[in-house]
Amino acid sequence: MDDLIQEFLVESNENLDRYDSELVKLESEPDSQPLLSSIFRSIHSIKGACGFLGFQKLEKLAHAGENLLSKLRDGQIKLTAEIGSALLEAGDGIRKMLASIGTSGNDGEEEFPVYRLRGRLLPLVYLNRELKLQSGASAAAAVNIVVLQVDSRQFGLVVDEVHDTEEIVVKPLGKHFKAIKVYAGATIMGDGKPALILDVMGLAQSASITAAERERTLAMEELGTEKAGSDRQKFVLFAGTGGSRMALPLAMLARLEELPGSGVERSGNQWVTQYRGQILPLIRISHALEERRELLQPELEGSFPPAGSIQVLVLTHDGKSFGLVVPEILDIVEDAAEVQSPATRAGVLYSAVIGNRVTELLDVPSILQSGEVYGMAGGQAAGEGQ
Amino acid sequence: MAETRQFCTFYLDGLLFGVESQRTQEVIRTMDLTEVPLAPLVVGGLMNLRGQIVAAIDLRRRLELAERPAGQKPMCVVARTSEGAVSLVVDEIGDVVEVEESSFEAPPETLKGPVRSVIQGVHKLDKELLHVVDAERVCVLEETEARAAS
Repeated sequence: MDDLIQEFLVESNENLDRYDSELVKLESEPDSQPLLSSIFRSIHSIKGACGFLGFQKLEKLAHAGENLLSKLRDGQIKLTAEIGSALLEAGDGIRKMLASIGTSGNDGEEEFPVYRLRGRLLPLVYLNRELKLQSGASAAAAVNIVVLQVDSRQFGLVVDEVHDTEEIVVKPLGKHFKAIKVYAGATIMGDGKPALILDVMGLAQSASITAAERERTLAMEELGTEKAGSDRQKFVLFAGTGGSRMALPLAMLARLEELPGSGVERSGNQWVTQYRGQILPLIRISHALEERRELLQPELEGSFPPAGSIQVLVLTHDGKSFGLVVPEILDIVEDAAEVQSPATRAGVLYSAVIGNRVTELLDVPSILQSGEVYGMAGGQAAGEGQ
Repeated sequence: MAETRQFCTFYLDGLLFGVESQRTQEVIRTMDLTEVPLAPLVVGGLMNLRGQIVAAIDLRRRLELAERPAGQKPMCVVARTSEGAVSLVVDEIGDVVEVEESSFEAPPETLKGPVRSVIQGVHKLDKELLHVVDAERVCVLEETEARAAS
């Protein structure tokens, strides 16, 4: 191996040892500036050398750690247990990458692909790669992604083809397969052939070997920006009434859906639709915001449900789900929403400049109180009362 | 009268092997196997034995013999083990033979490696040697052994 790389490995491992031991010390004296500076220097020199040697992934992770440390050093953030363990994990991640450089000469597996799903990054796991299969669709073609969830983490499983859903009985595999964590068992399909059943947890574990570093980097970047006091948030933008632009923090949303208008039904004096095995009450944004109601009355009396589809923001409030029917979902943006002015009508928290346009932030609790959810008649009454 | 043992015999790469008849559940033609990615090479796949999912173990690979020539249709000896049924993929089925205990000999010291754990010994027959396969040990693959040892 290259002498230079050899030297880099020795030196970086020494740096890392110091980094680890000083981090532990830091826990007992979290405000020690000399200690913080020294930890910062350790990771900084690793980062510097990686940039020089072209280990980009390692550099990125070290950089994320360095950022976090510089904020700690400058007093922008406080050392919490969360940040402490993130820093320790970063050290572990760096150590792993160093080991990988030592054995294979590069700092880990190929890039970690992600997919943007409704404004969130979904790490992708290629099933054919996980199973070490040769076949599989080429990267250029459209791919099928099965979105899976383990604990609170979602990931997308890229498969060749999606067949169908089917109820099956999972039978355990014998002990020959115990060591393979990606299978939960097997079953016999309709054609009489055994089919393997994947274990989502096992799959995530086996895939996280490659995803872990990226996640750490991302998590730390997030941690850093969040704690630094910047309140950039993701907002979903949608058309409100009368061409105005409205927004909700993305975090409040369970899902964005386009549902068929034909699925909208009437239950008592309320519009509902069947959604994932539940009855989802629907609130029309046009009715929930009372101010312009009179103005737009003729338009509102237009047929609901429409013949086509309806755009619905699925929200959960106080443990209850409901769907907010909006004219159009526009975009998902990240913005600090710094410029603000007070609300000009009920049902709105405040107006802010989001994505360079004045946007009203919806006040969900007040809309719920406005009564649309309990029926339009009640909603109207509440509106008139104000 | 000397004690005897009964074996269901089969051939692998021209050699005669046997599994105790009591352990043999049935002999069947090989059916379509469902491949198991990531599984050890000796596992040929999974088969549906009348609704039961059974792992097929390629005995040639398990015993580190040469690969089966392409085009040769293998057979399966389904053996009962503590783990349930296991299908042993073999070349050709032989007779059921009854041998005297006295003809048995332990494997030679020089026999090493994974084969040794699977072959209990040989019975000296008139014309050839009958290698006694321990069906129980066949299922214990290296990975699991390695883990138990560590």
